[in-house]
Amino acid sequence: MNANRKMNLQRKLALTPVPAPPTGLAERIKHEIPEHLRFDAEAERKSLAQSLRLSLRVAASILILTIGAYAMLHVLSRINEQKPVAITTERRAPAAKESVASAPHAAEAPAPAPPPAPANVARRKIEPPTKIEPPTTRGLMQPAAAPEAMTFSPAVAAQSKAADSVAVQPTRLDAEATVSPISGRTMLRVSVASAPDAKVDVQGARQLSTDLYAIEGERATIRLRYRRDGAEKTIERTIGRADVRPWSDASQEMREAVMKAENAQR
Amino acid sequence: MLAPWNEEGRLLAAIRGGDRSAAEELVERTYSAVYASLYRMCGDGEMASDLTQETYRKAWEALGGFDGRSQFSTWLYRIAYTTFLNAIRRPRRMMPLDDVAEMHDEAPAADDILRQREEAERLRAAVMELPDDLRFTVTAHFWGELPVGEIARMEKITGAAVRKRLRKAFSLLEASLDEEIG
Repeated sequence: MNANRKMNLQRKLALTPVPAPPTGLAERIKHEIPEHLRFDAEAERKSLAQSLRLSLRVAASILILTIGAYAMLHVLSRINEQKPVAITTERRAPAAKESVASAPHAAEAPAPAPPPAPANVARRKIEPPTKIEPPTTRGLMQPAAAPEAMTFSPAVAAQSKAADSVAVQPTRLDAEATVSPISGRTMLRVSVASAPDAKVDVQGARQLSTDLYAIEGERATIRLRYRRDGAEKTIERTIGRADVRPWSDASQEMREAVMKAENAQR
Repeated sequence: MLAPWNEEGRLLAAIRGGDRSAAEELVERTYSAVYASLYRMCGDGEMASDLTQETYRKAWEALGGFDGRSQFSTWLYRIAYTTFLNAIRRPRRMMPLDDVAEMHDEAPAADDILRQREEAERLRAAVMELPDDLRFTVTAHFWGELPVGEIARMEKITGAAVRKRLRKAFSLLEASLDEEIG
């Protein structure tokens, strides 16, 4: 825009014709002046500040309540997460939990030793992760007659490793499940001790490495077949959602296996 | 026209003390400028008159909250401008200036007066088409006769920013008027 046109426009804007205000307008406006014109600006300001302060207090209270509720929920959920599920099978009787693997084999296999106790029931215990129970209470290191045990706790697994050096070599199935922090998949680590000819079959999970599986459904079933004393035996265990422990509670071996598998997948 | 946008401090202090005559004097000093700016914005004498009354009504109600950080005239202009915007958002007839002339000016209209009025109406319409910030700046500066510094204070921007707005508004106005003529 050149200077002349700009000036012309400015002139037009400034000199827009305006008629004189209508007669009586001033009187009408004056007539509407309120009767009480005393304005206490200080009081107005104080009342404004007061209402502002009140609003701020209300807002702060709401904020504090919200944060408090959120923090409480967070803490509660953390507490719930930190309660691991430890599953131990004690002195699992061959008749109850072990079964002769398949029908043809069943016919050929010699009869297993009779169950030592009538109630050979797998027991679930909920215990804090740091608590290490003595091996004797777990029955992990039982003599060959009823040697199979399955643990779900890293602590128990560590115990059993130590116990492996003892003369008795029980067949043991260790399984541990956790959620991978990288892919979010539920990982299952299965390890077998003292069963050189053991065969592990995991249903409902995809094998990622030698001992690591990714659970694909709600649960996975681990079946361990091995031979002892000339007979084929089976240990079967089902892993459900309740058995999955948080990553923070997973054992070092579990974490390493998961990270290795995740890296390999990348 | 001289803008009576000054020397209101003394009157305001008196009004705050409850002096009704001071309020009347303030009205006397300011109402024609308020009316002029509103007339320039709406192009209708009757509507400008109503809006001027409404502006003062609102001003009396809000006077307790006037903190004196800006001039009273600036504050009053802001009320007038908001009142005008509210009015045009309401479904209400706005009469072009030439229609007003036809209705009220029964004296023989000279061609140049008519042409001036048409130009003024075109300009008013073009100003009303500007974006909000530019429209406010243009009307406050040219029709409300507020200095750049006051507009800057009111808009919480710098004087340079106000001038930039004015330059931009001129470009848009020029384009709009050229387009209309062309």
